[in-house]
Amino acid sequence: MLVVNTETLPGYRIIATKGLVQGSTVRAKHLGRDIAAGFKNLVGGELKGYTELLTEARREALSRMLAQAQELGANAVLNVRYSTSAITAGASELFAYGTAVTVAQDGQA
Amino acid sequence: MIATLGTSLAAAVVAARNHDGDVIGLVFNLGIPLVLFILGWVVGGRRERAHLRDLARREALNANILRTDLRAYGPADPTAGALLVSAEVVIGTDYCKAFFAGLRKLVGGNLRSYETLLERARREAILRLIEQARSRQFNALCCVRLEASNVGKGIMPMVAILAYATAYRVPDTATTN
Repeated sequence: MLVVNTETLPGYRIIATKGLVQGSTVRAKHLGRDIAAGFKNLVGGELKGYTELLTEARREALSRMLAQAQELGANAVLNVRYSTSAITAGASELFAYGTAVTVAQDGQA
Repeated sequence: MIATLGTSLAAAVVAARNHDGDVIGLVFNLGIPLVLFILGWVVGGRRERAHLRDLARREALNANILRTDLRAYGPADPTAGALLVSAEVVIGTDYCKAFFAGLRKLVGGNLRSYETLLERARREAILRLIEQARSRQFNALCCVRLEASNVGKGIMPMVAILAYATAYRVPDTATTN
């Protein structure tokens, strides 16, 4: 499955457009991480616990989007965009969406 | 931040006036924020400078990677394909900076300490994108997008940056000479 956030793929032609696909996760912060982050915040710097949380959320949302694309029978997702929103204090949603298409390499049918 | 320092100062003054002799109370009310302030200033400042040095070093290493926010590729190697790369980073500020920002908020104007915080986080996120692209043998990024959100509470912001782009390969011009 080819995934890009542009509208075209170099070396490929779009044969069919399947439609919009999306995936989202809502993640809440772990209390332990929250307290540890509070202490870390006194001296500043990167909060690795939260970074990992965000990475997991992003991977999950992306894989849900790709699963939808797979169901539609597509072999590529173009124009992927992410969007975040705070649902409640301590929980945020990561939303990924794109267009599922079928592509073929240039020079082939 | 101002409120806590203000109330501790007020409590200290009241205790002194009442001749409570409550030295321990004074130490706690004034001492803890002061210790945190100094900790934030010294350790936080050192960590920030180390991070900025690290950013400068990595940016020099990766200066030859083309990055744009254009949706078009330009000359691209069609056999190498393209890939979505994403990177996220969460960076918090320190107690001392938050205190000064709180003071600044009373009079308005640029919050320089928060501006540098966001700049650091964005530079870090973009560098991680580049490092990801490089590890997969790509040498250019297009359609770079950055999303920012605050995951902290109140006056201690923790900024989370999500950066994503499409990595592709620009044909090496050296070989065409």
